[in-house]
Amino acid sequence: MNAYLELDRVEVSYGAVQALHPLTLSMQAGEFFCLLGPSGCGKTTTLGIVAGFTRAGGGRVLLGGQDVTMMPPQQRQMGVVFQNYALFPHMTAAQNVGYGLKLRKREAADIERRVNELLALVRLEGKGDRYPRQMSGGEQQRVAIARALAIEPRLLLLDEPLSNLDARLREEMRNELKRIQRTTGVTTIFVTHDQEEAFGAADRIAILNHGRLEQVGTPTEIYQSPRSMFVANFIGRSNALNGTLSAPGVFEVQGQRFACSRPAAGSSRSWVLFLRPEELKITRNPASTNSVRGTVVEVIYIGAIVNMRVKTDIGELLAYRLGTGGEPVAAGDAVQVGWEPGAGSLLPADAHG
Amino acid sequence: MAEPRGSSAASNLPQFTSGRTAALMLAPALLIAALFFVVPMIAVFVNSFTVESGGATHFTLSNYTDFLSDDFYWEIMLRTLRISLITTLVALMVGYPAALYLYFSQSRWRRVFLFLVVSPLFVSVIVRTYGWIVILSPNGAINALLPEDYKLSLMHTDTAIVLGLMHIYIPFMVLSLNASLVKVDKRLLAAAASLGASNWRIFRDVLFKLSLPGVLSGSVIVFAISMTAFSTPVLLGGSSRKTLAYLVYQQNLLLANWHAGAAIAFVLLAMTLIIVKLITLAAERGTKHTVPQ
Repeated sequence: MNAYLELDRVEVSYGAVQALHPLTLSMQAGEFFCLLGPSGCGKTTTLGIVAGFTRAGGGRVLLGGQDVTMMPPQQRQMGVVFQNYALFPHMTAAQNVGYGLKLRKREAADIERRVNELLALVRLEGKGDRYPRQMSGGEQQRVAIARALAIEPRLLLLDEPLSNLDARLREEMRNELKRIQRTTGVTTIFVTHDQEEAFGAADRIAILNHGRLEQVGTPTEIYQSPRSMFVANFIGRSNALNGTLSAPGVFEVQGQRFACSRPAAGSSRSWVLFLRPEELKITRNPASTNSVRGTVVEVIYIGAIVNMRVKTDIGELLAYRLGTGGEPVAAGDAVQVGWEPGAGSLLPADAHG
Repeated sequence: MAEPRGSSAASNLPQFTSGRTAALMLAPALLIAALFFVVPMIAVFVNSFTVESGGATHFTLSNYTDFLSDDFYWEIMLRTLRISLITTLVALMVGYPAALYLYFSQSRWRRVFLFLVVSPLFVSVIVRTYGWIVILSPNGAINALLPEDYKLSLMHTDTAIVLGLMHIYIPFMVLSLNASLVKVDKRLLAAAASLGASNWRIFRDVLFKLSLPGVLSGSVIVFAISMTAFSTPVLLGGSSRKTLAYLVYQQNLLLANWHAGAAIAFVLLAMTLIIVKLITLAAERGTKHTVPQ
């Protein structure tokens, strides 16, 4: 399948600082793609390159097979939603949404019809004559999305669009974004530092760190098979066990030997086994292939799940289990922490990150 | 909902706005304003409607009617108005590009440029004006560069006055424009560009519209101080190019006619206020919705 958007070894540097190392990425038409990473990882720079706001120091940007690397933003026809929405304060919501159409010299009646359609799409019917300062953050956000969609963009670019909203609204808007994206079918790039947002919205995620691409994949791939230390640490919670592969299928941690069926490639002598808290089973008696003895330090009941911290010979481990069912466990209890040989991800300890 | 704006909760932070504190803090400024502005203004206002004859003071409108029925004074009034409007317009046209440069500049020379812009304010008005005389006079710098048959007579013209005023007042214009422009989020420009706006449309539809409060305040300041400028018009305009401020001075201090002087001063004040109101009205439509929340 031919990619709709291709970044081909795109790089950016500001003076001596390499903001983006040569980055190659491709996206399919209609995809909801997410750029995820901590602040300063290069995700907003990448979005700027795609939008045409930032000039690439090298490489090419291809959109639908056309080289747009040097094309000014005015000609790219990309809808951009900024973190602070960047609504024109001197225009009403309807004027904001219609501005791109007005620039395209569409007829007034035509613009009005289209603006009403879009305001309905973002559920702001009847609020077109309000000024941005008369609207709530969530409403401003919707206006910004409608304005970006009005020009029938070839790409919809969202720069941290949810970070200025409060927690409840954020989830609602995330679902709205997904709904709007499905309705319009527009190829979307979403930039965020919040993995929950990324996982909740995106078809595929690219994880960036220090201007380098760490991994691209579906949320499931990224969560279950992190390919670098950085991704394993950054995504979700993990218990990192430092050890060695002392024999085929044997992972040794501080003298204790565990069965490990995880394939490991590379010449590294030291490895890290990342075990997700939900992969650990807390029982009274040994119940898994691998098991260590420990003492429960703390039990936190969150509702859906229970967080347990257990002190063991190989370090303190974090385990989750469902809030209902299972043997009751309290702080101070002696327990067994177990996991299956196929659990977790095994990564060489010298992998960057 | 945790909407941060419009919070009306009473604040426990020190506010300094409670009755007694506020009164104490405002007292010095109010006292100075009352003693040296309000009281003299009332005195001048009363003076403008009276004459003294035979040791007695009488109410009269003659100070105004005499002034307003004289073509010579009308010529001076219109010249003052014309010079001030042109100065304002030129200051705006010269100042706007400079303010735009300051807005967009990422250069480390930006501060140096800002200093250069305001530098005329560091030199005494008399010294500055004599500088212009050196440049504009018949044997001055400009004429030295021109061939024999093309010498210009620049001194004692309206142009000379406009040049002198503009030079002093452009800093006020640039600072006003700059104050307004720095509040314009550059992401608005990027948003407009992504929607397809050319650089000209970005300027016309977004940047200029949002800078109108600065255009307004800059124009009002420059216009008002141009109307009342004294030493620059006197030194560069000479006796053939009098302005209202000079007439006020002449009546009050040279002819000791305090009543006529007071009337002229109030005519000058009225003209200034009317034009300022007109400028404000003209700009109001554009600025109605640009005031940040």
